[in-house]
Amino acid sequence: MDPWILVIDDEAVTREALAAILRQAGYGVEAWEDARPLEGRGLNRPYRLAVVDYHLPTVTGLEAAIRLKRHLPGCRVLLISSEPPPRDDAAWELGVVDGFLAKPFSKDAILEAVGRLLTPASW
Amino acid sequence: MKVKSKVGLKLFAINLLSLVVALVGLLLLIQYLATRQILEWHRQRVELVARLVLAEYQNKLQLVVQAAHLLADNPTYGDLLAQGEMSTLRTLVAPTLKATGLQVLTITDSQGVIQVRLHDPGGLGVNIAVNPLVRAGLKGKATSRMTQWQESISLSAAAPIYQHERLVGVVLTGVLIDKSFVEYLSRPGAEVALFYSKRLVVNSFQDVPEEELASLLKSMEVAETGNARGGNIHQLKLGNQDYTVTYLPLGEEEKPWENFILVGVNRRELDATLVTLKLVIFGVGGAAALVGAFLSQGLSLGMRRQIALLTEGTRRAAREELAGDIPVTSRDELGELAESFNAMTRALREKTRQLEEERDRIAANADFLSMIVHDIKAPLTGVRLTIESLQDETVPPEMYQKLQGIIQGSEGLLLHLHNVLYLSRFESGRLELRPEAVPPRFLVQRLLTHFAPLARHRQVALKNEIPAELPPLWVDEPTMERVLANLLVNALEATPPGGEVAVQGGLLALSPFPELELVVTDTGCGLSREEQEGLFEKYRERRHKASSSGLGLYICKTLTEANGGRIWVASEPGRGARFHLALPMAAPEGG
Repeated sequence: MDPWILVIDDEAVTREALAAILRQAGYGVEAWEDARPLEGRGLNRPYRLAVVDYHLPTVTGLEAAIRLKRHLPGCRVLLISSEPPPRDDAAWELGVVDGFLAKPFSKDAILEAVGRLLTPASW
Repeated sequence: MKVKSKVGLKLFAINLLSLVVALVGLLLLIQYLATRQILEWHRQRVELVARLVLAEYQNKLQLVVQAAHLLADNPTYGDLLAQGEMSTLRTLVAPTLKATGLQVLTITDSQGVIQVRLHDPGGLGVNIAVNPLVRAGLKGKATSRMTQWQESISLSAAAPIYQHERLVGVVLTGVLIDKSFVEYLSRPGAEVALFYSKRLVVNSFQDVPEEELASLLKSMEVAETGNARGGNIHQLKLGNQDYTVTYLPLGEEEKPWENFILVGVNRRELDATLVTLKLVIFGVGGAAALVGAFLSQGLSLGMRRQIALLTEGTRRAAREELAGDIPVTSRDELGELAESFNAMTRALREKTRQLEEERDRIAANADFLSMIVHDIKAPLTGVRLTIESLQDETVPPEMYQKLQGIIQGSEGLLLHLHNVLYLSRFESGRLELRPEAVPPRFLVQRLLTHFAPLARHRQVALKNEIPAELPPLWVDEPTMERVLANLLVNALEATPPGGEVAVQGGLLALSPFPELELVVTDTGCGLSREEQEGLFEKYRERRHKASSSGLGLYICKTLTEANGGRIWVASEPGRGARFHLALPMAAPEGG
């Protein structure tokens, strides 16, 4: 079965375009506009990768990554943002983020980054 | 506030020195005048003493002469002498001897034979038998004279005695000027010596060898030839004492300097007086100079205080960035200087405040711009990805081509936004560079991947010709990305379809320190010499792009130089362009 990817971005156009591109590439995709569902008991899918925007309505992308890895320690996180997150953010120090892609990026760039993070060699 | 003034000591020294110089001049003048006056008084004293001595001498002489006449003119004595009543005569004249102070009283008969002879012990033995005075008296003449007798001078006088106009005898009177008389004449500090026939007879000088007094005759001869009256005052050393001396003639008019009196006044007191005078004058003068210097020191205190405050104020202004005013304590030029300085620092403070406000405003603009760029980037991502997701959908190829054009347009827009953002950060001083070792081939490859869709869209080949073994650069990666992005976009826009844009790299061999060279080349239309002039200046772009902001190459130059590098162009019209970057090389690991 194709690996499941979680997309969290509050901007609908980007979120839906990302989901469409990843689905076209053969991944199973679920898209959220916020990280709120991570506050619940558990996740209903074994996500291998999460593409998370830094600026989310309730928390930062880094905090979302920390919560996500509590549920799924093996899930990898690709942070996307128009600027790199501040280096003094404590979560950045924890190494919860596995990759970063600066907005705006192309379809090729996101597919290349996702492919790289899902390849076992990159672990 | 405690005032420390280095000027104070100098000022004090200057005041003291000028006062001392002025006072020394004044004191020398006073000393000269005072010494001259004291010397004049000394000379006058010598003269006065000399005149007193002379007066005493003349009194003696007059006494002798008057006594002789007094006795000779008494008719009783003539009668007694004529009648031969000598014992009666002796009895009558005996009191006269004591009353007049005479030392010798002799009466002869008309033959010159002594009939009465009276004398005090000092006058014993005076022989008058050959006395020329007696002979003159027998001839009816009254005379007087001065002679030496033993260690004294004898003053004697003779007068004829008549009885009814018949000469019956001669009366002879005399006194002696001996050492006791000379000592009586001398005053404290003033000594007297009598010379007879230019020979010392009697003197009151003590502790002076007589031969030295005798040698005075030599100086006497000098006096004789000079001004004899009043001007013959000399300074002589007798024994171990200094004297001021003068000579008074006693002889007859034709031989005035045969017999004379010498009067000497000891200079010991004079010298002591002169030393005391000098001590008093210079002591008082020195004290006055000190008092004057301290007074002027006190008066200049305000001035020195203002100078010290100025010095401290200027130091504080430099140290504490123009903090506070200098206290103005004087109303002179120094006070005005302090006020001017305060006015200057106030103006500078105001300017500084305005500059800080301006800086804050620019920083706020940079922040605002940063936020705008962020707000644009996020939706732009959605637009781009949405268009790209349509690629695999059933979109007609013409439509897809137009959609690609939109994507590339958005790339150009983003490039300009980034340029403006970096420039505002740089100009507001908020662009932080973090140099690190950056492999040049990877940096260039990332950019070429990013601009690959644009290159495809423009049908231009993109090539990374940087050798993999090239050592890393020592640069701030985000800013160098900006530089290369601008150069690549410019090159792609300048190159016609079918052309080629390549990035080459190598070591810069001729550089004095380790540098790498990156060259962005294109096969475009190239740049004329005129176009190349001022190419890297602000708002001076640019080839083939009327919509350009003119910031791209200015940004390239600014950010390259901020990274310690250089940028230049080599191009000819029709033969493409080569934009060169010389950049610092990272030090070898462990080196």
